[in-house]
Amino acid sequence: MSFLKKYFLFFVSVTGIVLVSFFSSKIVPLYDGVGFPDEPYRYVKTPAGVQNANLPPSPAQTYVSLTNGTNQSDFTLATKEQGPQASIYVYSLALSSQSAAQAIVKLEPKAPDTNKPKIGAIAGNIYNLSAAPDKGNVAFKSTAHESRGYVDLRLPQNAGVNAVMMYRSGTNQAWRNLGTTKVGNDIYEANIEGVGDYALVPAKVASANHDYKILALVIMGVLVIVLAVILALLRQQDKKSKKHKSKTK
Amino acid sequence: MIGYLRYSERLNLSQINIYLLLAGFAASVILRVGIGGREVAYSWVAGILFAACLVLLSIASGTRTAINYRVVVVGFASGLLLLIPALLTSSHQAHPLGNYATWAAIVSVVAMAEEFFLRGALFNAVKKAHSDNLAIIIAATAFALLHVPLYGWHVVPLDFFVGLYLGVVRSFGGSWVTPGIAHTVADLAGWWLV
Repeated sequence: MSFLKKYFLFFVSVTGIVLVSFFSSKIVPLYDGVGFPDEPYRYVKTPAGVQNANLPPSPAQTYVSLTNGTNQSDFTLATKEQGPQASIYVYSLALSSQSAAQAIVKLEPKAPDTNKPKIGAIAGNIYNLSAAPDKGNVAFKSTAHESRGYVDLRLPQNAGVNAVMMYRSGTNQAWRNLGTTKVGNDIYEANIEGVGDYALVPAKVASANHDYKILALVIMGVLVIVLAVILALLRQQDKKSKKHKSKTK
Repeated sequence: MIGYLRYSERLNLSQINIYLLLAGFAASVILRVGIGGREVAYSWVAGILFAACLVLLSIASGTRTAINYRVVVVGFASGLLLLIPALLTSSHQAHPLGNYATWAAIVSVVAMAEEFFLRGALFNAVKKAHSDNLAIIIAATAFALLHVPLYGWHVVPLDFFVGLYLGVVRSFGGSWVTPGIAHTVADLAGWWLV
């Protein structure tokens, strides 16, 4: 590789790393694929048969300045567990108030109550998102919900492999599904609908046949070994043929 | 087998090596995801087994290991540059120090194994059959895709550029150990920075 090409690729890669890091807020800057282990899920009310984390879930709150009736910059809020159980990212201009100069935005865990979603049982805590102004009212703007920000919730361990985020505007309101994206190993994300309750319901997935799964894993393991053997044999064969060619020359 | 080997003589051996290595890499990733399941990013057993598969494939393909003063110094210096993403996106939340030693040991093994395979075996095979540039790009692509089952598609852009960077570092250092050290330094520092 020429000197210039080397430096060009070096420049491209470093620029790419800096730009992607700068413009993304959801990157995991780890390259080995072994993440920091999550602590056990902290429940407000631990379900029967689930190991108790012995710690209460943490709420989170932040003070947001409002200028000209709205927040002028993005802000984020996350609960304090190792692997936050809930977090939000709110875009600038997402809040709206006629008279408030400041608002306290809170994320508070609650135990699931008797008002259950139709599609299944809630896994983990309900997280209530609220915004309390110093005076008057404050609310999320009723513009397209994509422009308000997003909520991330962590699914408890052993609660399934997929989940749907649910939302209700009040305790007595019906739950409804939100468009949910899995953004990490066990993190699920949806756009902010407004103040209210957010929770995860594990999606029903047909359970895979355990025996077939083990068989598939054994086949993969054997395949790796077979490929390694072929690689080694090819290398030997290559060496032999090179020796043979040099002799014949 | 003999027939296959004779047939392979007529084909480009380096090209076949690339296909075999990529197939082995895919099988190793599937194995890791299958064993780790939903907790694959946190499964140390799956990580170690994955590393073992990559080391096996790399040794079988005859990847050599060169270590000298330059390799180590360039590796450490390059690792420091890889801390940029962590510094830019850091939440500055401290992680409990209790299991750092175990975590660090496993992370180092996995990081070195990945580099042994990607910037060692695969890099050499592609370089031999094609060019240095293509070797860097293919290894970077494999590196980015490797992390998708663990963290999701959103990590692809960063990991691709990090893969490119590690490929260039490999090219500068002359050994897979150089990006291996850089990768390990960046990962281990992540405990305090992420």
